[in-house]
Amino acid sequence: MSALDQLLALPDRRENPHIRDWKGAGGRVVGYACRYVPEEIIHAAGIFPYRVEARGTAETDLADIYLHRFNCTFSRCVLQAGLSGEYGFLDGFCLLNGCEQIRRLYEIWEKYGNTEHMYMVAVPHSVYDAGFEWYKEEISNFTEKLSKDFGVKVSDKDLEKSIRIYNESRRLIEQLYELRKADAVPITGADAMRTLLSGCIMPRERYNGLLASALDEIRKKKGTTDYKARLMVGGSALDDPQLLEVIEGLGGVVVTDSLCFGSRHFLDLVEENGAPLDAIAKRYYYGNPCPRMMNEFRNRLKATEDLAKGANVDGIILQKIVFCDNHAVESPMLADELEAKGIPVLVLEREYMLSDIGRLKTRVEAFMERIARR
Amino acid sequence: MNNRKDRTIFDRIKLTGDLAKFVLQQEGLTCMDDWGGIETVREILPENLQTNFDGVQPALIDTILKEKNKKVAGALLDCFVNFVDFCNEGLDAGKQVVYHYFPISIEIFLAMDLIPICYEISAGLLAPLYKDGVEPGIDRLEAEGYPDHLCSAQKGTAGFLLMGQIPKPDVIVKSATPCDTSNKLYEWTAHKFDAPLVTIETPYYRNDRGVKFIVGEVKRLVERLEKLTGKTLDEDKLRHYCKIANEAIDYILKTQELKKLVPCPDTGWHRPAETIFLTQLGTPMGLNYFRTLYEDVKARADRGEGVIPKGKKEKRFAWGYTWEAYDLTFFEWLEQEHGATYTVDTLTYMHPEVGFVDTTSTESMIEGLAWRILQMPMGRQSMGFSDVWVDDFVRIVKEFSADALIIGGHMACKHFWALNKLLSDKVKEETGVPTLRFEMDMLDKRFTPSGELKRVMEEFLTTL
Repeated sequence: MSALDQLLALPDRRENPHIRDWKGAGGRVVGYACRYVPEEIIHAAGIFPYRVEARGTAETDLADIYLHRFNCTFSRCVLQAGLSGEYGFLDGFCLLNGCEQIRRLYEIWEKYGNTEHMYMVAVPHSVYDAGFEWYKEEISNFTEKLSKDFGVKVSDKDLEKSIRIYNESRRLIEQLYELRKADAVPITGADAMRTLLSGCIMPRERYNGLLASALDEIRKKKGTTDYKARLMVGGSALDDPQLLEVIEGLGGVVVTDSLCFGSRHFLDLVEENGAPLDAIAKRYYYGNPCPRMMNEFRNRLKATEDLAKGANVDGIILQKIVFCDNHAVESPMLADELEAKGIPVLVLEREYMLSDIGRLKTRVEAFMERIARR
Repeated sequence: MNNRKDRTIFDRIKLTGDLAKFVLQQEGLTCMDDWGGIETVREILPENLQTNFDGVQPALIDTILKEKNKKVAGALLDCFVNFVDFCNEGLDAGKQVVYHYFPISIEIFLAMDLIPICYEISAGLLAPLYKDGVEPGIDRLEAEGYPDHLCSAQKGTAGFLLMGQIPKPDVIVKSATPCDTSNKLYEWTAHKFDAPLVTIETPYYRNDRGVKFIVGEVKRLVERLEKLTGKTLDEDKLRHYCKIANEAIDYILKTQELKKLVPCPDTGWHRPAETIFLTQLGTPMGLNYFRTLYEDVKARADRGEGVIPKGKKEKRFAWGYTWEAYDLTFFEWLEQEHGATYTVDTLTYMHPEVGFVDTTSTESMIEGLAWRILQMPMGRQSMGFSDVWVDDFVRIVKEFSADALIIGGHMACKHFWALNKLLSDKVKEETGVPTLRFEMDMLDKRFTPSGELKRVMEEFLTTL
């Protein structure tokens, strides 16, 4: 199997061979729920950082005992996976106050899940000096607690090494995003997403090796110009390539994104000079901000515009999960501004589980008619 | 620049205040039927009040005319009118308008000679008073492409801002708790109306570190406001307003204690007003309301009286989340028809550890106000882990001798719905008291209309 094929395989969490091998060798796994949790800290502790996802969850009967229909289906599906025992391999789970629904998973998971060690990282809702100091202290406390719970010491050297490994991923991923800018697009958005998501569910060292080789394979591809429109996708948590397959099945090609499982998670390096915890905190706190960060709309707008123009997109699809408050407001705000700048936008409401594909297809088709190159 | 002519809603509330005064002053009038019904009352009203009267919820007028409700109704409407007058005077004098979130108390803004307007107050006032309520504002914002699952408390005001019916903000102040929907709509407002947004981060943890952090946040608030407005925080003025607020809090806590008595000596219909007037802590009108309320409840308590008809068995409710404000007569109905009294709820419960602001110095007052932010109803319960909310209500159910925990869950509150079962289970486990959980919108009557509220309640009451 080629390196690219291995990344595209994207194993299900219930039968992930990387997890199986890791645990089989006595390794521990700590899950995390959001891009504001520094993976390097978990990695530096010798623990496998696993970004918790809910791919393939179709029912939420267990989750709905504790959550409610007004809670988004992403949070309910994550909880469902937890309560169903699908995250039995987690030795710890780090949540944070990323959004109102994810943060409350902490108490429910602590009480009804079966993960031994639970962590909370509280991130301020705006970007400023005192907020940075608070966040730095939060991740320092997280490091300390993680060390104590797992009987490990996390030194500056360990952190520096982890930073280098994760930065390597970021550099490689940046190359992937660059390749996708070509007129002859060498990889579909769905496959690019699989490639990114694989990084969250296998040991990072292994991922880097596979990704470096996969990039060589991608460079050798002829690429296609047979698409109706070049698209950017943004919006709510999107950890499943299926939606992109639906979009690309209608003739578009997704060439970039502003997703928290995409560019917002993977781009931006950690500084490799200076105090490592400080550098980690800076990258995660000051990086491309999530819509939960107040007073950062103009920065997000600029980042979205830059990404869109850089990839020469014809239009942007902002998908928002029903009851996702952050994107419910952010998406129309962005749409208004971007349309005024001549960038077409489709705001698409959906459930986490793609149960209403027909409706989504109609909306996307209509959007493509509007923006199609041919 | 603030358009100081956007006062449609203020003008409407002022007229309603005049209307209420007129009606309450009529001797022997206990309901509109005493005068021959709505049409006859309308004919008797001064002409300038008739159009306003047409828009008011008629059942609310009958509620405030009841002898047991008159005193508090008068104070309530006085507070509304005085708030409007205060805003109008400030606007006419060219003062800057600061829109603020409801769990932030306003002494600092007052001491900086700003006009504090609680962002949610338009929605909170219109919903109970008028037939059209807050819905026009909601619909206006939703017409811009914003979905229905956002909070009506912000949607309404956002819509009224778009409609030019309330003054635009010069500055906006938001505490980060409790929710994404309010955070985002404040950000939207700042962007749409080009007003700077000052945020107060609220700590996730209730420990020394959290307290130290929020004191720093309040100091940062003062610095930012001074820079943005060109105004300086005046220590003497701050002391003046903090003392007024301390007095109001004293009345609030005393009234709260009285509600523990059996039978409960306080009525339920005015509870949304208490949340609204918590945004007036520090003002004479806020103090007047809470003083009047206390005197009313105390007088009843001293007589050993309750608020339900004689012969009815009292069923005491603790409201584990919020009241609804679009039909205040619903609480009256609960008392009269079912003997169900209203003790406390999340949006009005003031934990006794709120204490009083030490007015010795600016430093001590800032520390006291920061501490108060940690205790304000709703802010306290939702700031961090759910155990605060849950443990508060286990204690409330016990201390207030509640027979049931009623949780009308506001549909937009995702963080609440994510803890609703934790709350219900723990209360049942620790106290044996049953819980009723149902969906509603606290301000938009269309989501769960009054008839449906009553049906849900009646079904539950048969089980008690």
